[in-house]
Amino acid sequence: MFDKMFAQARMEEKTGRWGRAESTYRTILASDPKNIAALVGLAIALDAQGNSKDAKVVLKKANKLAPDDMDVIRAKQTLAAEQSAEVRQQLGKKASGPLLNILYVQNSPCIRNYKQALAMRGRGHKVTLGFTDNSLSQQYLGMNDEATYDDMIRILSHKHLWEISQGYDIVHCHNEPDELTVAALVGQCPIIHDTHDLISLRDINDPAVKSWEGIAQRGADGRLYTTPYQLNEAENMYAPESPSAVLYNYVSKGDLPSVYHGKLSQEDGNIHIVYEGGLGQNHRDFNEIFFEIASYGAHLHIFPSRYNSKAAEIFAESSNIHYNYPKSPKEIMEEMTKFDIGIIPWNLEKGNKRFLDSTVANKLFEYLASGLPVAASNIRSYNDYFSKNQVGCVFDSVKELMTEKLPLLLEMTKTIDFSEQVYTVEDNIERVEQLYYRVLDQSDSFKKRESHKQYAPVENVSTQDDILESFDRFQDWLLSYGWDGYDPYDAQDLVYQFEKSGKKLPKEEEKAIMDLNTINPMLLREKMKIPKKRIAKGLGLLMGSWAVLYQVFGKEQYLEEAKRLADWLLAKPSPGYDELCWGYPFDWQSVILIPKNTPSAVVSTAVGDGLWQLFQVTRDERYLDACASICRFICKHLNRDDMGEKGVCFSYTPIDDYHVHNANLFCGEFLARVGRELENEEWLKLAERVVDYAISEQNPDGSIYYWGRVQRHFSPNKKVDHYHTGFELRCLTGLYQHLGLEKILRCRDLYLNFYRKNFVLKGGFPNLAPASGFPVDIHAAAEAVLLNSTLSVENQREFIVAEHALRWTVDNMQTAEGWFGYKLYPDMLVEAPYLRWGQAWMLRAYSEYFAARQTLSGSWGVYAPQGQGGRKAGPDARGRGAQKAQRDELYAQYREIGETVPENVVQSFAKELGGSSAYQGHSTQILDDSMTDGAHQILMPSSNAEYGSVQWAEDMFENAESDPWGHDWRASQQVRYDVAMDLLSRNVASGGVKDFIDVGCALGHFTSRLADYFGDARGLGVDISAEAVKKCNKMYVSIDFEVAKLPELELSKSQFDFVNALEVLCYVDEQSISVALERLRSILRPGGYLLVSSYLGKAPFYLADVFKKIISKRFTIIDEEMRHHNLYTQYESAVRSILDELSKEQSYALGGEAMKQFVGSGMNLLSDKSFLHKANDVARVSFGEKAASHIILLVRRDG
Amino acid sequence: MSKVDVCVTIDTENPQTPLFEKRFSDNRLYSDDWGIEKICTVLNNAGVRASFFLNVYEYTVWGRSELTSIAKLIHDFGHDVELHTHPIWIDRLCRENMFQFSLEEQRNIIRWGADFIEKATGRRPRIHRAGAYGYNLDTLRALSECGFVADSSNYYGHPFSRCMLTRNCPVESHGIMELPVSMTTGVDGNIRKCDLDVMTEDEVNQFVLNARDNGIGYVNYMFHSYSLTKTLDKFASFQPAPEKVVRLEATLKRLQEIEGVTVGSMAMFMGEENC
Repeated sequence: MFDKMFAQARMEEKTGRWGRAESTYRTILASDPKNIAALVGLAIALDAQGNSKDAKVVLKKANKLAPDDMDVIRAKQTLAAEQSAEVRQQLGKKASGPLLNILYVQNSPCIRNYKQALAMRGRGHKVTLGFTDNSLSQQYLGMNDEATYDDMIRILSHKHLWEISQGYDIVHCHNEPDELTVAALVGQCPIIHDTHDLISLRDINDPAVKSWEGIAQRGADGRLYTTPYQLNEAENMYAPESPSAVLYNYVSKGDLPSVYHGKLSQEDGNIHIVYEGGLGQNHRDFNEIFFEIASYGAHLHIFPSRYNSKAAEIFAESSNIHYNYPKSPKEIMEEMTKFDIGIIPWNLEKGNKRFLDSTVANKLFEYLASGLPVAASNIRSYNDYFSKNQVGCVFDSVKELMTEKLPLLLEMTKTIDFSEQVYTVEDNIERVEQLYYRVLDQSDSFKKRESHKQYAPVENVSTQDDILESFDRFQDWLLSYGWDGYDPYDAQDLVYQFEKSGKKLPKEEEKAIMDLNTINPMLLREKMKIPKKRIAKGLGLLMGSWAVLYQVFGKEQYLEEAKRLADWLLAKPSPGYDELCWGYPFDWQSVILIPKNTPSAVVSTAVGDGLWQLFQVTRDERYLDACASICRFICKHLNRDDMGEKGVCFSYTPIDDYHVHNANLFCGEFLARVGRELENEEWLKLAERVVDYAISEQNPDGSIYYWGRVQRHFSPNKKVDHYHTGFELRCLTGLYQHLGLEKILRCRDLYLNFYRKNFVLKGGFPNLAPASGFPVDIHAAAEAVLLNSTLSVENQREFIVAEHALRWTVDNMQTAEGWFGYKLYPDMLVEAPYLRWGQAWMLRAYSEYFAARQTLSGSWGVYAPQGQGGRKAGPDARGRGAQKAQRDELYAQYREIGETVPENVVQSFAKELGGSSAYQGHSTQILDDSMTDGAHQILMPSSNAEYGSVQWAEDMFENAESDPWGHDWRASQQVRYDVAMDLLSRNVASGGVKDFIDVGCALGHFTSRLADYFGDARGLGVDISAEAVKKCNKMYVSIDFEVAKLPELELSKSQFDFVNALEVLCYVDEQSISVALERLRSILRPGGYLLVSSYLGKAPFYLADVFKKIISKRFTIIDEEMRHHNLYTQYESAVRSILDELSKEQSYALGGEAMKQFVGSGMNLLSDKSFLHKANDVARVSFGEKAASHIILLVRRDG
Repeated sequence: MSKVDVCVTIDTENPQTPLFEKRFSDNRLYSDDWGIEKICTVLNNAGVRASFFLNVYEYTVWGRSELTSIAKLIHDFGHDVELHTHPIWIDRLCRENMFQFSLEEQRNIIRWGADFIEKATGRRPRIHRAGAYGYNLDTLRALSECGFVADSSNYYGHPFSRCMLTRNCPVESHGIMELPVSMTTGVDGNIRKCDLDVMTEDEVNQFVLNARDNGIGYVNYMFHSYSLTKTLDKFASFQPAPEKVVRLEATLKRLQEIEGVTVGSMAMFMGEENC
């Protein structure tokens, strides 16, 4: 009776109106004081408003009434977790403001990260570590992850970082590298950039590294440095404006020595010097220094961060050098109390002086805390420190140290009270906390939240493990449930059976049955004693799913189940046919009556798919033979409507003549799949003709209706739904993989756009039909996961959609037992475990989701050009990753033959992937000469022809697998197109243009957008390249394309209402530019518009004001847009080479899978517009107009 | 005087990564100038029988009939067609190496490949080499269950060889004789295979002499079906390399001249040539 009120309260909870939710629950309790759900709801609402005391009282009451109620138990756990946070808060020095939920981000946590985490936790904050490579315990011997962080998350990709960062108050990025900060900037959470090393101060001449540093410094919402020198250097170089603070690398309180040993020198009379920290090359090459110290008779004790057997071997040459195994910070500090002096040497002969001048190493504070005076190489920071604090001295040479400074240092051990020299992170962490609060004060969302809640309980940050958990529950239930189940069609079948037996069912009773079937289907089945049925389609889906899941998880049980299902199905095909086929076990009243067991295209191909998956796993050709038999059934027994050029349509069953697109495409895809395996040309040809029919009936918006046009009268309202759309999209994807025809890809992509717009909403909500909202059908939810998982091997972004859809489905439609409900209404889940309709499809969805997850995380997976193992006919990789993969392959081949990669090869790749380009020499406005339009570095195939010449253009198009400029996928291009279209649409009405021309149309991507906008207008695209025109003419039937070249522009038509010339004037030489502009003017009718743009830079490009000036000589400027892509472009160019370098370091053998995946996600970023928008804004704010990269003008010909 | 059996083995495949990325679309196995026909001709002229490890799983790219013809061609030239497993071509999860598959899956992959070769040539392969040397102990178990007698995947020091059973000496494990890829460490510290692409005829000669003098009675002289070429465009295109032909001819001749050395196929030495 309170259903509506509960629904209302839940809505209030969802929208954060906790006060109203409280009042609603109180209203319910006024009528029913023992209502457990209302008591729990009230407790949660009170707690959410900060009234935890009353919340506990209410919950206590609920607990007394129903101690075993799951909601009560969960609420108790939630409140207990908050309580423990409160208790923890009491332990450390209390935070000076609200407690925060902090995410520390770093590839692998360093000691500074660890110390700050401990200190922040001590103040009651919650600290989570986000890492890409190693956790703390993996990175350092003896360190404990759980004791340091509340939670840890392995960051799988940039997107993953953005996603998880939403659940935190602040993201604290520890450098280096700065790449993670740059990636994190795209997220919604305030970012602190913690500069451990100011990399640009090192002798590194990589402009990309510096540019990342600049973006991180300028883009971060707050900055933290290890020394004031660093802060000054950073501010001098980048002039960042965000709040900042300095936190030296002090000692962690917990690491302070609790045991002080006697001095070794007192035992043996020798001097004992200690060094702790890294050893390596450049300024960390200490070999000579150490040996020289030893030569003076002093003992040197080394505690390296990582043990290196080579170093051990080298130092073993001197009996005075003692190279130890690494220890935990606390152990080292206790050990160090045995020695006399701590040393901080730097090999200043190897460079990096400016960098070192800005540093103060953590070992300084650790030596001091261990009671040791410190000798440091003579750099500015230590000089300053020791002049203020008489606890050590600097030295210029070992001789000076050992002869002059040593007595002074030994004297210090007697005179200094080292207990006053202990500086801990805990005692100083408040300045970081204050930095957080200053940053958060500027964050609107944080202020809003804090206004109604003092302490935000930690959100359950989504991980993939909850999906595994849901799957475990589901598979346990499914494996025990058996193969017989209920079906939504049971009710219709019941009615039909009455009619069949001659009994007339009164209309009211029929309605009652159908209503009950909607509201409480299980009750209907119980009352009417409807038996469970074994449905071949469901079993086929289960069979395929178990086979795929076996591949993913390797569980024998799954394979056995799949084989048992196959055995049963192969033994029970539809009777009366000489080939394998299956139907439904009930009569089915469609347009005509289809008697039970009549074989159907859909059921047979579903079983076929299962058998195919089983063949893939077992390589048992019996299953392949069965697939071939199904193909023969399709060809021999289904009716076939041959419509000539329009294609072929197979019927639904042998007894009908239906034109049902999804059934036809299922047939086509299966024929193609098996035909390709068995090299059956007849089946392959038939498959192509099946697609032809689908293409011929595709609607302008991309959709395909259920019925073919000749039979649309069967369903005149032209409905499209989620799952039939998904079926067809998956079939089209498979058909493209097997047949490799571009027309299929075009059809699929257009259809996919329609799907994306209409079916999966934000957060993974699966619409059953466009804009349908509730109720959600489990079949639609499963298809959302299945389709997007299938597509994700081709485009990783789809995986995120799949995961959102799966998580949404699990959260909203999975029951406690593990199975999935039938339909979800806003306040009710129809709980019916339909085996075929819901459970089988969900298992299929899970299987494809896990397969995609595994493929994407596999070593080749991130570069996999397509699913199914990269078969010959599939789509190409669209340019992404190709060069990197080429290089990897070449290097691998060299490795394989045991040879070192020759230097010239290394350099040629470095050149190709990192620096020079066809545009070298044309410097841009800011930063350095390597910044050009990223496409030239990333995508362009090589050409020896003169830049901009016809031959050059031909080479570009001929040598490129896809568009050489990445017009079709690069964010940089796509955003420029979006901006140009905005400019156009806000000034020029679409109906006012009868014809238009796109000059320099390339592969027609923007031409087609213009055609879409102008509707019926006749479009003409022209390009210098005959190859491009040829490709365009194949791709776009409604637009004309011809070869023409500026400035002559010889055309078949004289004038147009609209002319487009985006980024083409740079191809016209300086002397001809006037002629070219005059020609553009002459082909534009008076009053017509020209859309024209240029990349900004030196010749052959233009500076913004020059460009406007030359255009305005012949046209009136109506509107303009500037873009600031330069930072992004540099990122785009650099991302590959830098990530390549990172990934190179992580060989397969060293477990670099996470890194490889990370590299993959970096590449994916290049097609992500949101990152570009952010980089554009950062560049604009940081550099102003100097960072302008493109100008787009809309101009008019007047008179 | 110790004896040395020098096994000549050829990984018969297209370069895998460029193929996976579709950087070429025609099969590079056939060629009179440098492909398997040329290799067979050189071997036959030298009177050497060799083991061709054929990656039959590429059939998903080229078709069953094409791979059948290749197997038959090698067989008809008088050489042994053995099994080479690059399973990525038949795996929807794009797993590259055998060690990534379960025992059951490896068994299925191997059995299917052996069936395929037997159907094509009439001779069942008995020796296996995992693509990219990516094998583990399950591979040996699976081979044993499928009636194989030997494996040649062990490449000491290679990260994909997940069980380093031996460096250079044959060793038996799980009922399978492991015939390792022969290797040595160069002066620069790099591992060098006894491979046509890596060693000159002088070096191979010296390698075999060293083996003989150290009492190692077995050497695996290997190369690829595209080794008689210069590779261009990062392995995406080839050019005939007559100097490699000369090197192969000279190497075989030199080997046959060494006292105590017999050059032949693995099956020959295993006594399995007629299987």
